[in-house]
Order: sequence, then C-alpha cells, then structure tokens
Amino acid sequence: MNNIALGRYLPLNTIINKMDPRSKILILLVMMITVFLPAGFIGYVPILIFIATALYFSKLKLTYALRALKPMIWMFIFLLVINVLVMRTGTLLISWGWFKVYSDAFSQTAYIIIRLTLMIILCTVLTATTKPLDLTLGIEKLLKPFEKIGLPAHVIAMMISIALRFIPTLIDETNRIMNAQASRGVDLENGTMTEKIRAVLSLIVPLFVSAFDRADQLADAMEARGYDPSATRTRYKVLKMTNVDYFAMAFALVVFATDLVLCWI
Amino acid sequence: MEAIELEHLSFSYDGQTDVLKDISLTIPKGSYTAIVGHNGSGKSTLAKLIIGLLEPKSGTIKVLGQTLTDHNLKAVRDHVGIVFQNPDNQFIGSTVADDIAFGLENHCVPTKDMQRIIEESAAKVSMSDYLNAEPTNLSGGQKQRVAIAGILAMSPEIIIFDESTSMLDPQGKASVNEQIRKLNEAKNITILSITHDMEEAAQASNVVVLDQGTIAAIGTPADVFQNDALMSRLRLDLPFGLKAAKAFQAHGIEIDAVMNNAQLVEALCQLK
Amino acid sequence: MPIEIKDLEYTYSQGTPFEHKALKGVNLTIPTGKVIAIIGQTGSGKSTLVQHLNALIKPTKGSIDICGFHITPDTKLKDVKILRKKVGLVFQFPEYQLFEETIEKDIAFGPKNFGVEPEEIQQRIQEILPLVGLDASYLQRSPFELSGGQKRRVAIAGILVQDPEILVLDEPAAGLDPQSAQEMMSLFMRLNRQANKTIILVSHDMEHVLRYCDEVIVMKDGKVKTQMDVHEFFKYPDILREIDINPPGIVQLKEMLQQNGFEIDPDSYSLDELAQSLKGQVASHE
Repeated sequence: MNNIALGRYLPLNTIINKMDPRSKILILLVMMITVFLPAGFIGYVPILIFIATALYFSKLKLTYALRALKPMIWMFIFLLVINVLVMRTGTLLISWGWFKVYSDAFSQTAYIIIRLTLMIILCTVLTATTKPLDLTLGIEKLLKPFEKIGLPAHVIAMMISIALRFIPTLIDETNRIMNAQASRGVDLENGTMTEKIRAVLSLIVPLFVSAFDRADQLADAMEARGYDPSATRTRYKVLKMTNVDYFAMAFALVVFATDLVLCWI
Repeated sequence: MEAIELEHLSFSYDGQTDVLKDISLTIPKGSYTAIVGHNGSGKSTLAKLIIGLLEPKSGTIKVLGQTLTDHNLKAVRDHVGIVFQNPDNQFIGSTVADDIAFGLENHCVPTKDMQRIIEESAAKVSMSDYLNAEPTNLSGGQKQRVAIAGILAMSPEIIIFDESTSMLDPQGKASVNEQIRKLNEAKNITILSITHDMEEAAQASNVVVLDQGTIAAIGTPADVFQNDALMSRLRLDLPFGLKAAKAFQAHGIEIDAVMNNAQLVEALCQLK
Repeated sequence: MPIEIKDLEYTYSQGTPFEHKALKGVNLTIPTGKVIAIIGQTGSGKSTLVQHLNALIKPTKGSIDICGFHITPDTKLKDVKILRKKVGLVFQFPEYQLFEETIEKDIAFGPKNFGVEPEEIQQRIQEILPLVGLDASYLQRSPFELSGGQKRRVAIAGILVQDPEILVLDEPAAGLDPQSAQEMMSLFMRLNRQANKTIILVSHDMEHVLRYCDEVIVMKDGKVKTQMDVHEFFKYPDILREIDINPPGIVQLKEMLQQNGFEIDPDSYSLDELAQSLKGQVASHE
C-alpha cells in the first residue's frame, strides 16, 4: 500500500505546489489531449520538453514518477505479444512459416507505452504537487458553470473531498482488519476456492460494517455543525491565479498547437 | 432563561422499549453538568435529542428558551456545539484549519473573517502550531481539541461533550478535560458532559446519574458520589481522591470526603 | 521458555520516500507465565514490536525466538503459520473483525483456518463461552445485533478458542465503561492464573498496569528504554513523565504526600497500606 506513488501528495513547497489547482487541472486536460494527437514520434518532443520542465520545477525525480509504471510492465509485455501475433501491417521483419512479425507491432506497442507513460508522469506531477482538497476545490470551481444545467458541483466536490479525507483512515482500518484476520489463520495465498472466498469475506464484511458506522457518525457530525447540502456556503479557501499559472497554461497551449500543426504535415 | 430544559422527555428507537423514560431536567446557563451512567443507560441518546439529531417520542426540549421544532433547529444549532466520541469520524476537513472552517462555511461567515477566527479558536485549544496538519498525523486528543476549536469558532452558548474522552489515551483525556474546565471557568459557556470518567465528573458543578433511562440521582459531585448505596447499587466507580479519602476514613483518619488528590493532601497536612 | 528478541530492527516502506524505521535494535527477554505490560507513546514502536510476536511482520534485521520458532528476515511465512495459533493477537477494537452470520461460526473461524477438528472446536467453544461471560443461547445469533461490549467478548472468544500459549492484547479495555473494562481485565487475569497463559498487554492505562501486571517494558523511539518489575517501576514516576504518561492515582498521591513531608513506605501500592503509613503521622482515632 505504501509503494503507490500515483496519487500521493508530496509537501515539497515548490513553485508548482503553489500554482492554482484550476490551471493545473486544465493543463493536465490539454496535455492529455496532446498526448493522444496523432503527431508521430516527433510530436512527443514538445511534450517531453514540457514534462522535463514540470519535473524540474516540481523537484520530482523521474524515477519517482515512473515508479507507478512498475506494476504495468507485465501488461506492456502482454500487449507486445498480442501485437506481434495480430499486427499485419508495416514491414515484414521475421517470417518463419506461418509466424510473421511486422514492424507495426513494435511501433504500435511503443505508441501505447509512450502515451501511458507520459499520462502517468503528468498525473503524478499533478497529484504530487496538489493537496487533495485543493484538487477538489479546483474541480468544484471548474464545474461551477455547469451548475446552471443542474450539475451539483458543490455536492460532488464535498463527496470527493470526504472520500479523499477518509482514504488514509480506511487504509489503516484495512491493514488492521487484515492483520486481525491473519492472526486468526486467514491465508489469502493458499487454500481452496471456498477458503479463499471466506478469507476475502472476512476482510470485506468488517470493512463495510465499519465504513457504514463511520458514515453514520460523520453524517451526524456534519449535520450538528450546520451542514446543509442545499444551502449556500461561504468558502475558506479562495483560489487565485498568478503569472506562473498564466505562463504554464500558455506553455501547455503552445505544446498543444505545435503538435496540432505536426498532425497536418 | 435556562440553557436546557427537558420536560417529560421519552424516547424509543424501536417504538416498544423506551430508552429514556419521562426525563425532566433543567440545566442552568453557565453551569457544568456531567451525566454519568453505564452503557445503555440512555446518556448518548439524550445528547442527540438535545442537538435535534433524534426526535422525542413525547415531551419537550427547550434550548435557550426555545422549544425545539423542525423549523428552528438550524437556528438553535448556531448556539449549541457537540463533540462526539470518535475523534476520526467528526474530522471533516483535510487539515486542522479546513476542519475549523467547516462550521464557519456552513454558517456563511464571510471568507475575509475566517482566517482570524480559525487562528483564535486554534489558539484557545493550543493547536496553533498544527493549522496545516492532516488528521492522520494528529493524536486522538489533538483531534478532539480541533473539534472543540471548530465549535468555539461559532461562539456557542452550550457545548455538549458526548463521551468525548472515552477513546483517548490518558494524556488525551487529561488535555481535553483541562480544556473543558477552562471553557467553563473563562467563558461561562454551559457545559453538558456525558462521561464515564469519574475524575472528569468530579470537576463538574452538577452530576446527573442516569440508570436505565431514568434519573437515579442529581446533585453536586460530593452529594452524588457520597451516596454509597446508590454508587454500589449501580456499580459506578468513584473519583480516585474520594476513594482514597474513604479508605483513610475507614482507618480512623478524620478527614472530609474530598474529590481529588490535591484536596486530600491539603486536608492531611492540616491534621499533621 | 521465555521469548528472546535479539537486535530486532524493522523499517516500513523500505527504499521509498516514506521509509520509516520503527524498531531500531530491540533486545528483550520476555518471561512466560506472567502478565507483562508494554507501554510507550504512539509511534514508540510498541505496535510494530507486538506484530512480530506472531510473525505478522518479519524482522528487517535480528531474530525472535518464540514458542519454539526462530524467526529471522529469511523466515518463510508459510512455515510459521501455526505460530499465529500459539500466539493469539487481539487488536484494538477487535469487535470490527466479526463477519460471520452467527456467533458460533465467527468464534470457530480461527481454529477452522488452523485445521482443528470440528468436534474439538465445538468442545473448545463450550469451554470458552462462560469464560467471556456469554452462554450457549448466543451461539446462533448474529454478532451484529450485540452491543459493543458483547461484540468485543465474541471477538476475544474467537482468539481464545485457538488456545494460544501467549495472548497479546492491544488496549483491550479501550472505549469500555469502567465496569466492563474491569470484567475484561479480570478475564485475562483468570487466564493467566488458572490456565497459565502468558499475557502481554499493550496499554496506556497505568491504573490497569499497576493493578494487573507483573512486569513493565517501556518503549521509546523504537528502542527498549526500561524493563522492570511493576512495583519497582512505579517508584520512578519520572520515567513515565518523560514519555508523557501520567502515573496512576496512588503513585501521584504518594508523591504529593512525600513532597508535603510525609514519610511513605515506597513499597505501598494499596490505599490500606498508605493509610497505615499515614496513621502515626496525623491525628486519628482508634
């Protein structure tokens, strides 16, 4: 549980940590679209420059951002095997009887891996430099215009922020229940299918019972403190964009525009 | 005007067995009342009724002179705060400052005033150094003090403590109890504390003993705790100081039944 | 045979930015057959230490000898599974580990996992129930309709039914009312006195430590600070203050009396003994 880099906030207090979450979310969206533009391999150069800049200013190590990729290595290998077996376009590289390997198998796999890797690095930069609550606040503010068409932006943001607030608590709880059941001989790795199902139940049932308990008490506490989802509320945190935000957004747009142009030529 | 007046209050969760049976109780403004009794005696139900999280089966609840109804519930809650038992399940914000802000946001306090109020409230519970701390990095006692700060930010007239110290370690307990006493002394806030901790009950001005949904005794801590028949029938613990005083009396040492160690030592010094 | 812990070190999330050294070289000999308290502040390493006792976690360095097992960083978990039966670990708020439809099934869950025969489990349940203050009428009920205190008894029964030689309890009385807490502690004392179980109690409650324990182990910053006989230990309340723990009421009272010039026998830990010491020094009638 402790090895997950993706989604974890690092309190490094860099210039990127101080940016407005709204601009960071918008930049992430723009960059994600850019990553998927069919601009060829050359199109990744501007994106890589952008990422390098972001990593430099956020003081994140590339190895840290790439850690989240580790569990995906098997998926990548699987992908490559499938592509080798089914791709029938590009130059023929190997031909042993029925077994034929074309060059597109490698280039297509490379595209997917590069895109996924870039997206994961971008997401890691966002979550590592933005507190979960600021992220929620950013999402809420960005969704605000959609309230007119009936989207409950504030309620969505409140739900996300409570979920984020309770993730560490629930992870602790899960660890405790896992340890408690392991002390009662639960073994998730060995045993028959029925034993395994019992073992999983012995974790899930207590976790749900306790989560519902918490939800109940939390609802009471929120109500007692005057929370009413339909009422207007003032906000403690106010978001403010600075020149850094405008510059970063401009940078992202330049990268996007460059790749868009590269698509045409 | 009294802080809280309960008249013939009854409550039942399932409609059959009454958890509270015809309770009438008056809690004067500025007083510090401890409600003691075993699990299942109806203590916590009483707290939830007063803050309007539950509705009575019969009887009335008056808070600051107003009878609780669906309509004035929100207005009444502006003046009443409650600290619950589980420190984790009432910490709503992702940092201390955000959590204190939660109540202010709900009550539409202008953003420009919030930082000042948050800092003042945190200072009152000695949590000024932790404004940006996240709940996972705080002890149970600190979380409960943040909960108190969140209530103080609303300048309430009444604070209810619903077994707020029962999940804390002794340090946490001591720091929260200290806080409760300070609040009562300095700000004249009415305190209603539901507790198992007899040391805490001993510092109250009044003690109410609940037993199976009825009031078994009411009076000053000295009156209630010295009611030997009642205390042993309900198998309630005594504050340590009183227990010691009683043991010394039994050995022929002529001292009064005092409530804490400090008073006990003082009394013994006079007998030297 | 005592529990031997040698040069035990444990590091959480090794090799990540969140790396945290919880145990920094623990050496301990814990005698069996006694009631031992492990105390210390949150984060002192006491929870990490007790999780080593039934091999929930393996040492990063060092070794543990317990119930005939020798645990080192290289130990395979499947080789020590049966240790978890011999060392029963009761976590804080164990009521949250219940999950079966009936209380009987829940209590039987542990021994079943350890491959105990159904007849033997039945027999053990019959023995355990009265110990935890429940009777056979409860067996077919759902654990979720019980009160908090009763749930905890069922959860503890679920560990006792494994017939552990060593019982490790993390704050077993937390959140209970004083009467239930006392009943809970008396249960563990009976297990120690009558069934000769070793009880290891992790607790913040110094009243319980003084009243029920034979020996105290103090953890601080991932190391053992002190290991002492309980009555000897409470003669030095400053050790407790150093780790921010308040001494028990009677120790505080003794200290205050001494500061006010009373002669107090340092070995008196009951109010009656204290009264005897005081009698000659204050006016009294007999």
